Amino acid sequence: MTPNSCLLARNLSFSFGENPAIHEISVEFTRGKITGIMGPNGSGKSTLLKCLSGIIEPHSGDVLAFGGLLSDFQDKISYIPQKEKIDWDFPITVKDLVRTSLYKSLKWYERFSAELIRLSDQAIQTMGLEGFENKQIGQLSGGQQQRAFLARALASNAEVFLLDEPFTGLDAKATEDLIRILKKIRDDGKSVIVVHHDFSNAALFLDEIILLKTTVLKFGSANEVINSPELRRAFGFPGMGQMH
Amino acid sequence: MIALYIITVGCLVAVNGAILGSVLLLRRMSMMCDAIVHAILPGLVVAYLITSSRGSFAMLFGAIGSGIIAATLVEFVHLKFRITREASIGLMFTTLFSIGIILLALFAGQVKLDQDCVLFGELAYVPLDLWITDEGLNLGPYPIWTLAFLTIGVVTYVSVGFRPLVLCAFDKEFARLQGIKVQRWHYSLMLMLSLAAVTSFQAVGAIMVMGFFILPPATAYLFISSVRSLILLSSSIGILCVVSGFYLAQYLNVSIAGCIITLNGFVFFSALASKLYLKLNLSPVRNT
Repeated sequence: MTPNSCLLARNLSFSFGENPAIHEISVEFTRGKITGIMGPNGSGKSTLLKCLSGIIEPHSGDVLAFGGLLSDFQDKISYIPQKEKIDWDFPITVKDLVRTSLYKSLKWYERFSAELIRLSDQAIQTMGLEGFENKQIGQLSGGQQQRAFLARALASNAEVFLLDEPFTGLDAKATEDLIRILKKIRDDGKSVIVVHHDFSNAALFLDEIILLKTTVLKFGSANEVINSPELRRAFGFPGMGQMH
Repeated sequence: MIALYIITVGCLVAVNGAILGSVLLLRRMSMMCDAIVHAILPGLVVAYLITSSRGSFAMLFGAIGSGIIAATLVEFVHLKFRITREASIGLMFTTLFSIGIILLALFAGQVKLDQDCVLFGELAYVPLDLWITDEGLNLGPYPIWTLAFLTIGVVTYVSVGFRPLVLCAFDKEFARLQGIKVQRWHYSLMLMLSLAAVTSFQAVGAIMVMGFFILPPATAYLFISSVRSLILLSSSIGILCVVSGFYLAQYLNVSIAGCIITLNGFVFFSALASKLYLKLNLSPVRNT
C-alpha cells in the first residue's frame, strides 16, 4: 500500500448464495481524489462499496485503510446509503441526524458538549443547511437530504466518504450543487468514492473510474475509462453506458 | 381504592407498552410483540410442568425463554430464508401458540392456566390478587409491584440505550460502523419485550397487550418529529385512555381492558382524521 492511498482492496470476493457479486477485486484508492465505481446493474458496485466501508465482510480477501486494518480506521470512513434504503418518515431532524455521528464520543448519560455542538453546527453550515436544522429529514428536498447525510459524515471527521448512488432522483440544479460539494470535499484533502450511473457527467467530477462487472474491467482516469473498449463490452453494445 | 388499583395497573401497562412500542414502531416491527405475546404460552406451560409451580419466577423464566426463542426464530427464518419479517412473525407465533394450546390440552389436569384468562385477561380481578405479608400487612395487588419494577427496568433500559436504540432503528449499517453491537441491542429489546409481555398480560391478557404496545405509539407518530416526543406523547395517550377507559367501562358495565383499547382505537382514528383534515386544509407538511 503506497503512502498516498486511503483504501486498498486485496482480492475481494463476495457471493449471494451461488452467485458471485464481486470476484477477486484488487484496487488501490488514492487520497484526495473522487473515484467513481461504475458498471451495469448487478455488476457488484454497491457490494464493493459495502465491503470497502466494512458493513459487510468479504468472503475472501481483505481491505486495508491508511496502511492498517480497516477496523482500526473505521471512524475515518463514512458510508452514505442509497436513498431508498433510508426511512424518510423517521422522526429525526437534520440537527439530530448530524449529531448521530457524535454518539460514539459520549457515554449514555452525557449531553453534547459545546465543542461537539460546534462541530455539528459547522458541518451543517458547510453543507449550506442553516435554517433547516429543525426540519424533519423527509421535509427536505432530494439535494438537501444528500447534504444532510454528508454533514453527518463531515461532523464525524471522516477522511473517506463512500456514497451509494447519491445523484438518484436529483434534478439538474441539485446534481450541480452536489458535484460542487463533492469537489470541495476533495479539495479539502479528503477522498470520495461514489457509486455512479451517469456517464454523461462522469468526467465533470470523477478523477478516476473503476469499471466493474463482477471483476474490474478497467481502472484509470475518467476520460481513459469512458473512451475505452471495455466500457462498450461492459454494457454489451457499441455505445456509451447508461446515459441519462 | 379498587378504582385506584385498577387505574394504576392500567397506567403502568400503558407506559411500558408506549415506551417499548415506540421503539418497535421505529424499527418497523410492531407486530413482533404479537409474536412474543403468543409465543410465551408454551414457555409458561413448560415452566409449570418442570417446576410444578405457578410462582412468579418459574413463569417469568419460562416466558422469557420462549419469547427469546420466538424472536430468534423470527430473525433466523427472515434472514436465512429471505421470507418477509411479517410472514416470519405469523409463522412463529401461530406455531408456538398452537404448541402451547396442545400442551395445555394434554396436561389440562396439571396446568392451572385458563385459556380465556391468557387471551383476554381481566383488569377487574387485579384488586383480588393482593400481597399480604406474614404479619398481615396488605401491600396492595401483586401486579402493581411487578409492573412497577418492570417500569423501572424499562425506563432504565431505554434511558441507557436511547442512542444505540435510535441509531439501530434508523440506520443499522451506520450504527454498526459506529461500533454499536446491533444484534446485541436487538436481542436485549426482545428480552425486555418478553418481560413486559409476561408481566402485562397477566393483568390485561395477551390480545389487549398488543393494543397497549401498538395503538398509542401509532397515534403519537402522526404528530411528532423526534423520538423523545414520540415516547412522551404515546405514554400520555396511553395513560389518558386508561383513565377515561376505566370510567367508561364502569358506566357501560363492560370489560375494562376492552374499553381502554377501544378508546385507544377511537383516539387513533380521530387523530388520523384530524391529521388528514389539517393536511388538506391548512398545511402540506407534517406537524413539527
